[in-house]
Amino acid sequence: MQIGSISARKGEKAFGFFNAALTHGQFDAQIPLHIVNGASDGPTLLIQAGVSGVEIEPAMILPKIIDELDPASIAGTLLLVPLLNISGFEFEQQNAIWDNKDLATLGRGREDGSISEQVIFRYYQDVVSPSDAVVDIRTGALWGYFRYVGVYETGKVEQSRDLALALGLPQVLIGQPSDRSMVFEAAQDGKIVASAWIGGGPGLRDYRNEDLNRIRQTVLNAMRHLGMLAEDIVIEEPGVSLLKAHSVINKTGKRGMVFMAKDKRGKSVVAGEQIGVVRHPFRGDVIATITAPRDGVMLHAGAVWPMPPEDALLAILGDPVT
Amino acid sequence: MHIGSIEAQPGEHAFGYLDVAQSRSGISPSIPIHIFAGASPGPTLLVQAAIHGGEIIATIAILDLVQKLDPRKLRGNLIAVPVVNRIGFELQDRGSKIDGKDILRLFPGNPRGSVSDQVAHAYFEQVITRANVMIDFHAGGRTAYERYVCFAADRDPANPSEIEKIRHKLVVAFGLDTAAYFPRGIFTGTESEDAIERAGVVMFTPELGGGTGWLKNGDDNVREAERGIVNTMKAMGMIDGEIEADGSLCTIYNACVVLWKPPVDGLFIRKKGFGEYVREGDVYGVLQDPYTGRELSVIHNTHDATVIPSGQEWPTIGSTSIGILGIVDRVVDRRSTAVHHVFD
Repeated sequence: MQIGSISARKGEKAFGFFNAALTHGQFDAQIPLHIVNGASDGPTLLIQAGVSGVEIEPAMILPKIIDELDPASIAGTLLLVPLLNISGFEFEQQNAIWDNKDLATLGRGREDGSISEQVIFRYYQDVVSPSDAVVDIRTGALWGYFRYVGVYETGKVEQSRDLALALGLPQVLIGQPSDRSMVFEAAQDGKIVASAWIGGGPGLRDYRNEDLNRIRQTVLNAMRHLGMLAEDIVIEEPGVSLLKAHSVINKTGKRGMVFMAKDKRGKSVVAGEQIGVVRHPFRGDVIATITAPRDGVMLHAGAVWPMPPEDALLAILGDPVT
Repeated sequence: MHIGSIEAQPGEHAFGYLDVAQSRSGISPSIPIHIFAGASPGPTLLVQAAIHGGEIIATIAILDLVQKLDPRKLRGNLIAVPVVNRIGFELQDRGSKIDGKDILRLFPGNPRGSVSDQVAHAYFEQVITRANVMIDFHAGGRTAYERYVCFAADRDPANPSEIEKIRHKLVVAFGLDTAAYFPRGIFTGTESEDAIERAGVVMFTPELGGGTGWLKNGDDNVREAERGIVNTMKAMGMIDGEIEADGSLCTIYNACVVLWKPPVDGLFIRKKGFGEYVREGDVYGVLQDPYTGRELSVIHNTHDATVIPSGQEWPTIGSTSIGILGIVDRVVDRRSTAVHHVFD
């Protein structure tokens, strides 16, 4: 298989930088890409992470997984991008530095667009399109914390749900809201797609090893599920619960310090129940309450740090699916 | 007591904003201040948080404390400032984006300087100099985690000054099990701190909590910060009660080893935990290529020492220190050591 100048024959691994655009200062806008080309035929799986320049923990483990894999025992091809948004990573920001665009909002990009749009266009054409399945690993960056897999309700929904269930995280959310990301486009194009939300800065100190292992199992389980590795799937105890999303909660109304109820994650809440408060940052009094709009289960998802950015997700609620 | 237009009569609590400067666009980083004027006379304690705008653990502790504290039961005054650096707080930055300056390094400030110089000047003149003791809370921001009390080394360890003697007591009274002093000029003992000391103010710096430990430990860290303020008030005779601490012992380290980022950059992965005794030459951490996982650099410890509960955990590290290690100077037993101080 060859993508850009990166080439791996059957039974080989390769790593390189996929040149996706050239900036006005003549910097290459690149994407690091591993190819593990299995010895036998099978599907092509794309694992990508770091679409935000501050979602960098997966890069601590993803290259190590490549080291573990033996192409001789793999069926099909693994494409792995440990950190997609290099420029955001360099400058410690969510968006790409070239044009301050969020790479998760550019759809399939534009050939004649801004640098980020060109990058995503080239990437979509050359990396996403040849893939049969895509797992997009996201994190909570510096303010959120997550442990679930989301599935869009478009394209191959059942196959995407089955992949999501196989990844082994504690919660799977059906009905991940439509968005302007390249993975939503991939789902619409009929690819099997799952968004694995794992970890985040507020849990880094105490759950780092757990979360890095979750990322590792996510990659290996995806390969096992797709028949690329002849191994049993490893599911985290006490098993996976399936939820249908019904409410996504973002910041509204008064601003201050936001305290979401950490102890209600994974638990049932009833309509009107307080799931967070906003406190005045200097007086300390509660100036707004955040309540569940209807009965449901709170996902292990959303902002934890009391000063999340304006567009940060605060919580997701869903109904259990039996 | 009054500060600017904020005034509290004995037995009262008042809250308001101290005008300090105005930017070119008209943004005024006025400083929110609570005054608790005790019903009877006594010393003045200043507690401040978020002079580095993203270090907000003690901000929350102050917000909790001001909901409960009864000024009628207080001797002396408590000045509580939940956020000193409002611009940094707004943007979750350490310094102030208005002029790129760190207010903590600017005391006694300059009324004709940039916005941060003016903020430092007004705050120094109208707030800091009113205090006998100043607790300047810090934390790990969003990228690190800390849990110790930091203070400047004595100028002459054989003959500590009155301010240094009081500080020795109060860092122990604060209640954490770990404290550390640094060689003057490294993190502490700066010109700014010298100005505070010349004003006769006893200052110390709890480094408590941080973003990377927030999910599991954040609520505990907030309680520990609040406990530390209350303990300090007890030690100063402002309120009655026993000191409540991690335990009876406080280990005081000479924080003589600071490890800095090597000349290459990548993802920082720390290998040694808090409280771990590390030999010279042991691997403290590595810098890893984010794309291939290859080790770019290995950071070796430079002396036999113990890892002080402080340090970067987020994998990008910029130019900051990545580890602080210390040698035990002394272990103080709160049961047999006087930690109270009566102010004139």
